[in-house]
Amino acid sequence: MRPRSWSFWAALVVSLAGCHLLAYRLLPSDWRLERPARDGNDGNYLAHCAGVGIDYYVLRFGLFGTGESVRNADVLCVSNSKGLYGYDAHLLSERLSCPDRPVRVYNLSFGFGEGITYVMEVVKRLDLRDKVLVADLAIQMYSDRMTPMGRTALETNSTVGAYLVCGESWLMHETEWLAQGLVPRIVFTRDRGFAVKPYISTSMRRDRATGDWPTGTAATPHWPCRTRYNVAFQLEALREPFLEECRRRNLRLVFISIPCEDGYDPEWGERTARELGYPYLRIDPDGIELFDGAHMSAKGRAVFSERLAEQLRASHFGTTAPALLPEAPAVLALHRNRVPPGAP
Amino acid sequence: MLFTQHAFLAFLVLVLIGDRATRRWRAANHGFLLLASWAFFLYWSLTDFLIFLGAMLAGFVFVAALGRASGPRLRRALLLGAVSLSLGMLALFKYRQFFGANLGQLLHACGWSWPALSDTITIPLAISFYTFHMISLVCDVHARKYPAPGFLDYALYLSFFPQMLAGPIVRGDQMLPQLARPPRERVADVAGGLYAFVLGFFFKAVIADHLAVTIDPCWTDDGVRGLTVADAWLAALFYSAQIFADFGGYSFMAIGLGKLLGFELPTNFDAPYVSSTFQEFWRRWHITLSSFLRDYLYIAALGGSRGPRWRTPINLILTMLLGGLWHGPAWNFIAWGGVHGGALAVERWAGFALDARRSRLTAAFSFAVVQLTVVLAWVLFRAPNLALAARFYGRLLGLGAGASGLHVAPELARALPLVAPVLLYHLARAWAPAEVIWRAPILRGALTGALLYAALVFMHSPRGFIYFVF
Repeated sequence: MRPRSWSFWAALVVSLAGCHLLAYRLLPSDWRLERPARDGNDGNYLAHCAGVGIDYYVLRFGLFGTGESVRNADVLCVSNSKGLYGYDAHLLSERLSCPDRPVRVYNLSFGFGEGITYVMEVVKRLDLRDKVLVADLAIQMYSDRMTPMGRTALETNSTVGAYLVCGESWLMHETEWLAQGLVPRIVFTRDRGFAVKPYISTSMRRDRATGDWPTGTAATPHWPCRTRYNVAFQLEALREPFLEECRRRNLRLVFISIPCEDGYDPEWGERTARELGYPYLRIDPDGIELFDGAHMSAKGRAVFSERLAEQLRASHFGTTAPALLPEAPAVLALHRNRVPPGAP
Repeated sequence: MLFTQHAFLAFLVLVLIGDRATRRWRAANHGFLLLASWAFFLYWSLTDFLIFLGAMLAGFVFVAALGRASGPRLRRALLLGAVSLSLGMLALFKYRQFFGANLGQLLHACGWSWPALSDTITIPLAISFYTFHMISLVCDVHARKYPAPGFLDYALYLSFFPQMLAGPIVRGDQMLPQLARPPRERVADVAGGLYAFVLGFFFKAVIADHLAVTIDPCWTDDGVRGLTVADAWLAALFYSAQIFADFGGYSFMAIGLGKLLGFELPTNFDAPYVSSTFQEFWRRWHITLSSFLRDYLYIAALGGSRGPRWRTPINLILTMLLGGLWHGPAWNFIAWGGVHGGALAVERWAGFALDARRSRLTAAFSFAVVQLTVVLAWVLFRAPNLALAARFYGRLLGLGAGASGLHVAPELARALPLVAPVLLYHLARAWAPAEVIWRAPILRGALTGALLYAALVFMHSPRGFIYFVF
């Protein structure tokens, strides 16, 4: 190497070191972030990173074994981010299973305020059939429009493309993880200007087998609050792509309303479900803790999921049972679970 | 794959290793670079890649035939065929909808009906660039500037990943001699390449992407409505900085990548905002496009300044109108080209561009006029349509309710420090020639280190390059 090159590299290293020292001298101490502990990645995958919903790609193409888990599930729970934080698929599985027959529950909710249209894209791509579909009747869910995240994800139409998105996001996550703690991480936003950016905290992992999302913690607890929806269900727009598609696939719909502080309307939900001819399970909102206006804390999730499991068990063996779950194998198991011991 | 994406950085490492490993064998080295370039394109879109592949293969038929043909008539026919193929592709994929819709409106106004065109064809990635590469090659081979290249060199020239998506528009005589040399003789300028790449990376990831976050909302109906005079001027100035940092940044990175692989790509930006004439501006802004338009359109097709005196300004305006249209099938791009064409024509007609004996005062006045025109013309370039551009100009002039205030929105004020590096770059270039940095490795190393550190601190989710949509 020529001497001139050596001086370039020496200047580069000195400059890097100088900038580093300067940055740590000038910046306030709370801008120096520690590198977070490594996430455990046993049985889960990176589902959200840097504003990209990686689970949109993973679940639609059934990557990392999720396809098999979703296909094998007996009950699918869907909603937007309220459901991501609200459903505890693992707990629901435990509560609904009987000793000789497990009931597999999968949380198929998406964040970003995503609606039912993207869920149905996943249903079609994975060719899901013969299941119970527990669907949150939050009005934002039921529109024929998709969020920008959903639309972007739909542009990827091959498994290779989906793997590339996952790979890119994984690389970004790993680089950011390395960078945090090594250099200050500053982001410029329109509203706040320059601010420290704890990048890693925005990444989320999701369970491969159940679709469960990490729990949130409530520094200041919030509580559900009822509101009154002054809108009608978009029946005509959603009849064919949602209701009829579910009927053709023998996806047995059970509607619920996930409680939240921003406003949910169980009366509207019950009335809508009745008008559509589907069962509706009313969940008692008392004591369901939220960590913000819309999302349940770990405590809230446990309470909500327990109550949902109770309702599912009760309803399956009530008058709605035959209409609700005729062929799905899980239903038979549920049914058997309710049969008094000793009965044939 | 964006140059600022993490996946690209991983891809680059693999390419550099592969390039080193295959340097001993020309075919293997060029084959490897070709496959890497195709993989880079495929990462974006299979459909767009297949369109590119089809165009490239069809183009090669003409280039190879032109290389063998000796009769002037046949050579001319082949040239026309190849140019028609390139322009036809542009017409089909890029301008079909625009011309169809406008023709439809015109005929409708005359009382005739015109079937509406479906808008299912999206503009294929990089089509504006590889068609220009093909035109330049076939014109040069026709003019016997250099012999027709073999398939591998031809394909690599068109596909070379640093320049294939958004330029620089590299001429055959700039690239083919480098490909003709044995790969082991190519000297990779790692320090120079790293400096150029990091400079571009900084401009794009730190400046352009953050400025975009700040001013993108200003270019919507609601955004324009909320602007005061001061806001509107700041937004226009910020956009001038953003587009330089974005496209200039891309070009610096492309040149840096070329250097890392041992190729010299032509300079595309040279501190355009220090220009004091429009001619100088176009010798500093998107240099490879303006020289392409000058050589192949203004001089070769329109006759340049050879005809009667009145023809020169018309030729200049026509060239710039088509240059504007090249950027996108929309009236605002045509209007932007028209403004620059008109300015060049007036400047040429008045003899101002060629007058080297200007006083300092005249030069300063000229600088102010040129830069003001450039900033105002960027409004046409950035606005999604002419109607919004007109409303934006209204805001700049204080027209409309609430527009007269000099109050600056805090969102815009916060972004002022982001413009400083663009300003510093231009000030430095105004006082010192580029060679000063290239000849001072310590200064270059220190700058690279500082910019690299800033990029590490500030980079986050990458955004697409503005010129990728052209």
